[in-house]
Amino acid sequence: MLRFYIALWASKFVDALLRLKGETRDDWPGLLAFKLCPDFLAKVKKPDLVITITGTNGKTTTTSLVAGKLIEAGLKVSYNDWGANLHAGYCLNLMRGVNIFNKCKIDVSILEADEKTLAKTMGMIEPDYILVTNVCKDSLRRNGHPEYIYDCINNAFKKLGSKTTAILNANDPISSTLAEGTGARRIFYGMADMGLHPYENIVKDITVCPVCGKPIEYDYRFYRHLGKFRCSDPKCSYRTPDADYYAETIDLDGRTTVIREKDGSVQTYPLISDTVFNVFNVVSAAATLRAVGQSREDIAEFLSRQKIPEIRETYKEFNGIRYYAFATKSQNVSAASTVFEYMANEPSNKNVVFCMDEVQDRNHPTETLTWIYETDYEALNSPNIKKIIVGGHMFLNHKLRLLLAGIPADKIVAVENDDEVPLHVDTEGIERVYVLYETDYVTKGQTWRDNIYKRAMELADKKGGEE
Amino acid sequence: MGIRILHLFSDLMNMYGDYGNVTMLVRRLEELGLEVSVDCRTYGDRLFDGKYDFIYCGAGTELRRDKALGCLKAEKEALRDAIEAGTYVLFTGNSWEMLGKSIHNVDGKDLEGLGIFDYVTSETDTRVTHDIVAETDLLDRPVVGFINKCGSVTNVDSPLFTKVTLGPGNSEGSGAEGYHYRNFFGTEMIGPLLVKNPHMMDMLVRALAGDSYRETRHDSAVKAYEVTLRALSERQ
Repeated sequence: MLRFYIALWASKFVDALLRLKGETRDDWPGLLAFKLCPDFLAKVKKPDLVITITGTNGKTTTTSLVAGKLIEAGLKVSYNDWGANLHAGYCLNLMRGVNIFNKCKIDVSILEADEKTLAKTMGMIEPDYILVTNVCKDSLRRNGHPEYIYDCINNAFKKLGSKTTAILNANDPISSTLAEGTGARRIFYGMADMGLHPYENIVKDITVCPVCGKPIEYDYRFYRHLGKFRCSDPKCSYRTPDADYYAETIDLDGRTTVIREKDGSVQTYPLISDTVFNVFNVVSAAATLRAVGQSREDIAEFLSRQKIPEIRETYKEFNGIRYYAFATKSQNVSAASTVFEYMANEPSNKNVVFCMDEVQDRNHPTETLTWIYETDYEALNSPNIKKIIVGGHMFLNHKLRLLLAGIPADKIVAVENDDEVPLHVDTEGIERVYVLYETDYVTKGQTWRDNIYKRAMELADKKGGEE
Repeated sequence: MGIRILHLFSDLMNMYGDYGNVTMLVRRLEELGLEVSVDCRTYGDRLFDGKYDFIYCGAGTELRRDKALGCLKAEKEALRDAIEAGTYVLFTGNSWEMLGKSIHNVDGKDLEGLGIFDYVTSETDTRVTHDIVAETDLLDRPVVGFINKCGSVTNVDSPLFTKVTLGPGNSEGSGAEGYHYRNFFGTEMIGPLLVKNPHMMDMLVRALAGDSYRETRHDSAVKAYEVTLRALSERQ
């Protein structure tokens, strides 16, 4: 135990120094604790309630909603809102929740967690609840493939057994079978048909029933493989489980959803945006908050004041054209494909600008190329998308993929020099310009958008001067 | 009579945009004025229907590969006959493992392979994801690709790539990758391999088009390959 206390005190000392310098989001103190005491996570005192939130998409937004509500409820909450979702982040999170005598001083710890390392870390933390938002294709280098990630998460449930409760997405044919037979209590949330007509993806994350190997069929889908599913063999038991929290009505225009609980009670909850991604985030957050005892009315009141972080989508307007900087996770097939689909379905005439290459793409160009062919560029072949301007160092690969997706060559402009991107963006005949930027490069994406916007103003000034 | 392509398990074994290989090949052949038909066959279908000029199978998860293997077993003679007859056959990602003697799964079970070739696959719980640059006597330029696997293949007497200059080979220390026999090409590289490597695509187009062949490479693909090769060469 001496080793643990040395790690705790050293970690607290460094954390205090960093805080004095104003660096509260550095997980170095957590890493130090882990290095000094590899089983720090097992020994550090945990609060009465520990919630882990994991999954491919939606975990940051859901974590933020769950933590925000519990803080508003007057609970002392610690959560890794700086995005450090590995062991160093957990160590820091839990270290800050205890005093120097390892006595807990918080009520709740919320851990946004990486899927791949879950079994090792959660085996030590033993969270009361593990919410899995979904399992989809993600970066190959980091995540391998969905079945591999499924196994990583399921190993955590196997290790924890009845010590934890799984909160699962009933509409995900991959993650909804997690924790089966492990002794963990399983709670499901799900959604009714929204009447969507999602794109038929070229690359599917799951195609056959994991029980019997027959093809999977859907009554309805939301996006990619998420929907109401069942095995095509009527004798097989594999199907969407009954939801304990079921969003039976979803009104995107009115931004509300009605969730029915197993006992028949219903509550209308506000939505934080009009995208299907965020409906899932609200329903998963509401299910988690209900599971830990928050009242329906309080959750609804809290949600009425929430919006998605503005960083994900911002625009400026000039001469009747809206110039958007629009976050698009590259390497994440489901996220990028859904953004492409949105570009086509959002009815305005537009230019789309690609600013999506990660810095790692320079080092791992062949992985990025694989991602490009997994993603549904075909969705961009839509009459309201007037031009696609491609920048970034993978510009030639994007161009080739767009051509293979059937997009007419005269709609594609591939630009080697990023500074020249604004020169190719239309300033007339369109209503919107979307700069799709990789989420790690918020500043770069917004700078590109600003440069395009500035050029439009300069052209207008010049035109005004000539007249 | 046009060119007949068989795309095996086009949904099941299409985990990494592998369909891009067939799409691009068809595009290239059609640009030469050739008539091309693609037969997509999968789980539950009869897999082989007559004679094909090119047979392709892409990558899947380990579970999907095992399902595909189960289906292929019933028609393995058709595949063996096609290979022996000199049909061009390309199996990418973990699909080429199916043609070997056996696959030793991570849970300790042995799965019988098609037995067309003598190599053996052994899986571990460690996943290897890596860029790869490899050389083959069949091409004058290196091939670039990406590997996502959790095992090694041993007893490979005739590798497709005799020298791996970046990334993992068939097994630790082997320095070679994939398998080559007549016109069968097997490699662990995933995704749109022929798009990434226009010279490899060219080799196939030349073989399939015969007298109709002429240079129609896409500039974007050729330049993109050079950029990729340069980036990877800097890491070697």
